[in-house]
Amino acid sequence: MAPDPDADLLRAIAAGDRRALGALYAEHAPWLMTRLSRRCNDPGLVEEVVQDTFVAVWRGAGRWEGRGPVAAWIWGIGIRRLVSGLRGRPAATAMLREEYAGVTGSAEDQVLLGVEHGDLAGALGRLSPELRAVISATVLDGLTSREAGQLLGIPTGTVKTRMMRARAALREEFA
Amino acid sequence: MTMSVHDLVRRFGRTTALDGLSLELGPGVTGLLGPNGAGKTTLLRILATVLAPGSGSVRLLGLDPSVATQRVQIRRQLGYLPQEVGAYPSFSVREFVDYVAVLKEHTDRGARRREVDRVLELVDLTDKAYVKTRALSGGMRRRLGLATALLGDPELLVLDEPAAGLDPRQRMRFRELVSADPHRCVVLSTHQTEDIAALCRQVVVVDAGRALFRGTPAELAASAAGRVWVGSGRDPGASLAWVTGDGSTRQIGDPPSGAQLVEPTVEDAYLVLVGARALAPAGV
Amino acid sequence: MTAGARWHPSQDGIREYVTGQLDRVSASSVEAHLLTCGPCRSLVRAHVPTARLDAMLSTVEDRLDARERPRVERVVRRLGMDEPDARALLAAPSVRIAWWGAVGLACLLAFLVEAQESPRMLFLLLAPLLPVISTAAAYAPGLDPALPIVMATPYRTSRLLLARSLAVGATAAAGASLAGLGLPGQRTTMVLWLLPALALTSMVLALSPWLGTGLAAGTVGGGWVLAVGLLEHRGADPLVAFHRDGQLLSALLAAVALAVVASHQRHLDEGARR
Repeated sequence: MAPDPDADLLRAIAAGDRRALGALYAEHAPWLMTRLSRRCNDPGLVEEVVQDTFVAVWRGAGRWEGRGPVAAWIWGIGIRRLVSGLRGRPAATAMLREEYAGVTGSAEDQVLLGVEHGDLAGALGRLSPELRAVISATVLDGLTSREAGQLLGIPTGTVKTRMMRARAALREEFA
Repeated sequence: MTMSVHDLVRRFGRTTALDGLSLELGPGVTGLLGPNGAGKTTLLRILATVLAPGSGSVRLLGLDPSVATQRVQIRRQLGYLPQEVGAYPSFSVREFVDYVAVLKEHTDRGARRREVDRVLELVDLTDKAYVKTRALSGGMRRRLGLATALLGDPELLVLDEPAAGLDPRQRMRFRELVSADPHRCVVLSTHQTEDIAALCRQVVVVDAGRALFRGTPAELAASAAGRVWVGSGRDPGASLAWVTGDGSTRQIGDPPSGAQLVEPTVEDAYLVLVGARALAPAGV
Repeated sequence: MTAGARWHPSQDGIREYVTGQLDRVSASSVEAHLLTCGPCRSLVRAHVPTARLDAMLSTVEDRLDARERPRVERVVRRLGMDEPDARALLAAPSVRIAWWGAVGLACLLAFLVEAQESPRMLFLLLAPLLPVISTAAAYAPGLDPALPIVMATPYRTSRLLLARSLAVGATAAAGASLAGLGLPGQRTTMVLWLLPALALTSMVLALSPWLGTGLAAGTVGGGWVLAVGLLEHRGADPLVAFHRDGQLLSALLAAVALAVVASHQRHLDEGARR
């Protein structure tokens, strides 16, 4: 895997370099804001979450374990902030849940886009919305079963059951 | 006139630092040249409103610093670099400049941050922004002080020995900085006659609390015409003589007839005016 | 997928993603891809308004700046003080030293009071000296190395020095009062020392411009100890300062001294003395 220049920035940030934080922000704030906006229709909250995320990056730069891309670490911080920001706001959460359940694209769209996961995308699309929601929240957005449960409003046990069923369904597809 | 003082007198106990000094300064850079103890620092402190005169009048930007409300107005357009930059040792460079910026009424945090960035960039201290002031060299401390003086882009800049401890490249940078805005009134003291020649629209030679000369650097140099010559040894009429790099002796004073006169420099003229006192240590 | 070549979404694909036109699954692909691809992130960046991003970064920087302020300053600001006042009050190390000195002296006084057989006398003599010493340490202009630069700013120097002396003096007074809690007997003892203390402290501030703060504090403090010592030696009641006439005299001295201090403020601001 190619060396991650963001890792150098994180090291500088851990040492107190504010300009490095500015550089990391310039690189990652735009996509973070976009990705969060697709899960929350409140632009004020999205802004707050992005700001909170980079304050947290500043405070926690020394705690990055060096595994995986820095962007993924940043996303982990951001989505968790969003989830706690959405707690007690069922209307906003509903949008997120809808997003996770999602609308599948047409087969044509997927071909045109050259969707990276190949037919996995189609397979996901053929799952029920409940199963898809759980996979989206845990696999694609990186939430834990408990967090996914809190967000989707279902018990953790149910999340785990649905994950198992989804995996079973996908395995069948590719068997 | 941007700054004017008239018949300024200031005593400290039995010492008379300023003895009836009068001066008018306008836009551009004015250099104060003079030996140690001449009264330059006292004059600069009065111009910076941190010292009140004993007697005499002071007008800065047309305002009177002895009136409280006008004094505050003056200070809003003033930047001062004192002889010693007494930055708190535990503060970082950035923190100290920020502190002065707060006192200079830069209340908006974001604007203040950008202003601090701007002045640190001007004096090339951006890389040292988070270094503690106790770790700074002498030249860096001057630059730190200069940064605080430049906050808010003031109309009046009063600088006491600003180029002390700066290497040639930094001195060039400093000259560019100081002369960048031709409308700003800058008064600075220096021992370096090259700075005077390169930088100043007006030069004032100060000694024993009085102004001995006021004019352009060219006029100052010209005032020593016919008083500077070179020879192979010291002539009797020379009040000052020194051996230059090429082995000849440069001399100042009353030249003997037939002496090889040379074009006087600002330094020569300064030495003519101030004489042996220029070479004496402080306190003499 | 072509072997060896890396998949990237097209420019249109990115645009559709950003504008929300992409279905969830394809969007997930793009999102997963963005985690590892800088160039595609730049494409996304082009769609986000820079002004909004810059404003947000400014807020982040503000928050980080605020977090870096010392805790004392944050507390003081939460209590309602303006930023310039809080910064000016707390910046000079001499203020912190004087403050901790006040606390230390108060503890010492408390200890002495505990240890003595008849502590009342000792307390009444020493307590007024506490604010004298501490305030002098905070007020002395020479102890703030940055004062020349600070004086040339629009912030009033007199305000700065007075605020510092007040903060430290009040702490010293509170500390000494607490030390007096350990005294047996009447509670009135605890307030009797306040007026003499105020008189002595004001006199130090009043004399500072002429004698310098150190000498002024030494003179006034020494004078107090001497006066009490003399009274004791003559057999008179050394606690006369704390009875009614003494209280009135203290109040008078304090009033005069404070008037002198008030007239100084102008001189402090224009640097008349030094």
